[in-house]
Amino acid sequence: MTREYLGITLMAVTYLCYAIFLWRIIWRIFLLLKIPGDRNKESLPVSQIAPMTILRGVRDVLLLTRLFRVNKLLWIGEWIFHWTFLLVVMRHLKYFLFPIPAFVSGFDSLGLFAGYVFYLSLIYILIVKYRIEKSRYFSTYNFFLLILLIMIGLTGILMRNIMRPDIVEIKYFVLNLLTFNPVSIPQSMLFNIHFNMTLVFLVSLPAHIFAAPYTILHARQCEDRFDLLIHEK
Amino acid sequence: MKNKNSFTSCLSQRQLLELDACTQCGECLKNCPVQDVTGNPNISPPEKIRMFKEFIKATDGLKPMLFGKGEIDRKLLEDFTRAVYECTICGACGRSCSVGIITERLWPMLRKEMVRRGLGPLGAQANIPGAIERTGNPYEKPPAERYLPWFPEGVKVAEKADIAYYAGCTGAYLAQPMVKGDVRVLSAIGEEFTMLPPEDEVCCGFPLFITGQHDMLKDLVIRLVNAYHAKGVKTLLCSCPCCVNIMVKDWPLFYGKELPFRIRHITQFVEDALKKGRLRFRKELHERIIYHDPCYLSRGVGIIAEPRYILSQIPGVQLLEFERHGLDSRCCGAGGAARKVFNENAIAMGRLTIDEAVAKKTDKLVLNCPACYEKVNEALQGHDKQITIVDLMELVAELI
Repeated sequence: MTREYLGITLMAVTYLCYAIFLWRIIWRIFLLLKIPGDRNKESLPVSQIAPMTILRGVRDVLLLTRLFRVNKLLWIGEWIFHWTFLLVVMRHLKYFLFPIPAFVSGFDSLGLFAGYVFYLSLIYILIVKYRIEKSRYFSTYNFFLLILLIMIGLTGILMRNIMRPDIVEIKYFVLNLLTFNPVSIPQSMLFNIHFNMTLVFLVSLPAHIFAAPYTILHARQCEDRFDLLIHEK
Repeated sequence: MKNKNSFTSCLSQRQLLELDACTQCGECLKNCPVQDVTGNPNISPPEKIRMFKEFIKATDGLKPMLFGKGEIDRKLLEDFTRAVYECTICGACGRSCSVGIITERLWPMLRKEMVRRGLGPLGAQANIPGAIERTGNPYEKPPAERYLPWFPEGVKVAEKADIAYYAGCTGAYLAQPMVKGDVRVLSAIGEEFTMLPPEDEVCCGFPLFITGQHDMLKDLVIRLVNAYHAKGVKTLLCSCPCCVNIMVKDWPLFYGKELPFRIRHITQFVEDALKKGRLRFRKELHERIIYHDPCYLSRGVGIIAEPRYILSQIPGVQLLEFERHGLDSRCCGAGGAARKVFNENAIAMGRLTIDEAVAKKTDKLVLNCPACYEKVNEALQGHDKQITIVDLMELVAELI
């Protein structure tokens, strides 16, 4: 009976976290739409965006080249972290989908490998930022996120290698969660910790995930037009 | 203004996204000149962004939406205002930003928001609009003395010409060797140029823009653009990086359409004259010189190669570089009108520039901005390290 209540509670908390996550996105779109599109525009030389600018912008986003320019030591860790994070998320789709699509199954080995590299990259970032560089600016929020992700990664690795949960039970829980059908909480304590920490991560997801690709693309556009500001074409 | 009102009123859509894009990585602190001299992370770029996001949440977030808007703690707002005005708006943080935040445009808008709320500007910065209204310049100097003390004898100014020269307030009143050098060099090139009468050559608007006091900007810009247009000007020359910056980036917006003339920095004109043989150096200079890139000229509009070309043409000269130069140049301390309130920071920054130039065993420190010229000269007074400071055009005028 207790496990049933806990299952219902965990499902309610999950829906609440997703609601907060969605609200944060909707709120940002709403704030953005309230601002007139032509406010504070500086007088950049008018020209069509060249295909090369778009390509360079996409490269800047995918390779984090701006970070590479200012801190190569941190860049390698951040770049590996962001890509392995994406692969880990892709691999986790298999727990949410039934039947599992072929493209998700194809990610399995790569995603598993990425999980270990993801964890190591976070440890590397932690060491670079707080032990080697001893950054002058300390962001409590960033530190919290880093530790949270390390804990999520660690519980994931433990579940994979040491304390394996009942995968059928977990998938049953997740699929019922997706169909708003209350079921008992899975028995694995490690899974429940892992899952709850993921919910905390979801509600505290950094907004730069959505905004930074745009600002990086825009900065590239400005940089490519910079020479036209005062120089002859 | 009540502190319950929205904090997004002065931001563009891009700037709102820029606030969200900040990862608070702290990379920008490594190149921040204010951090170099204060070491205070509470006034750093990511901290300012974090605080401003909190203000937005407090006025436009879910909590105020559900339970009504509460007043934001005035102490927090004052701390933020101080942080945003202590900045020199040199743009170095934007240059090193890993997500491409264009901070040299963001900070003035955050200042504008603080002005709107009656919290900014600070100290003497608040006198700028009144001074401009009364005298046409932010230093409240007599308009009649704008050219008189420094204008070289024998130089003719045409009534109408294709080329016009704008001296700018800081040059005309506080860095006169610089503007005198400009006019001597223009005269030596031999191309006819015009200027506005001293009472008509009013402030370009930059001090108002950078301190967030935008009310008079449109009128000033329209007045100046129409005056040059009436003189048939096709190219407007100026040596002040701040003036050039606002002329290029913001004048068209305040004017409401494309300017009827092009804006050029004086080094572009002089470089062209040297390349075409209309100007030649007649004297040699066997010295080691170092050139300091003004922020608003290098990061602002990309004038980096031209001053170096001019200096490289001086016979006998050995040109050195600062560790941080070109787009990565370090602010001398004069930027963002911060020097009007936080002068001790500005002096300390100016001394960092002097110290590096002296450490490189340089004979002359060449500047190219009236604000840099005034502030670095002030920093030199009473400093244990001494060096000869000269403006670029002042130096060129001596050698032609």
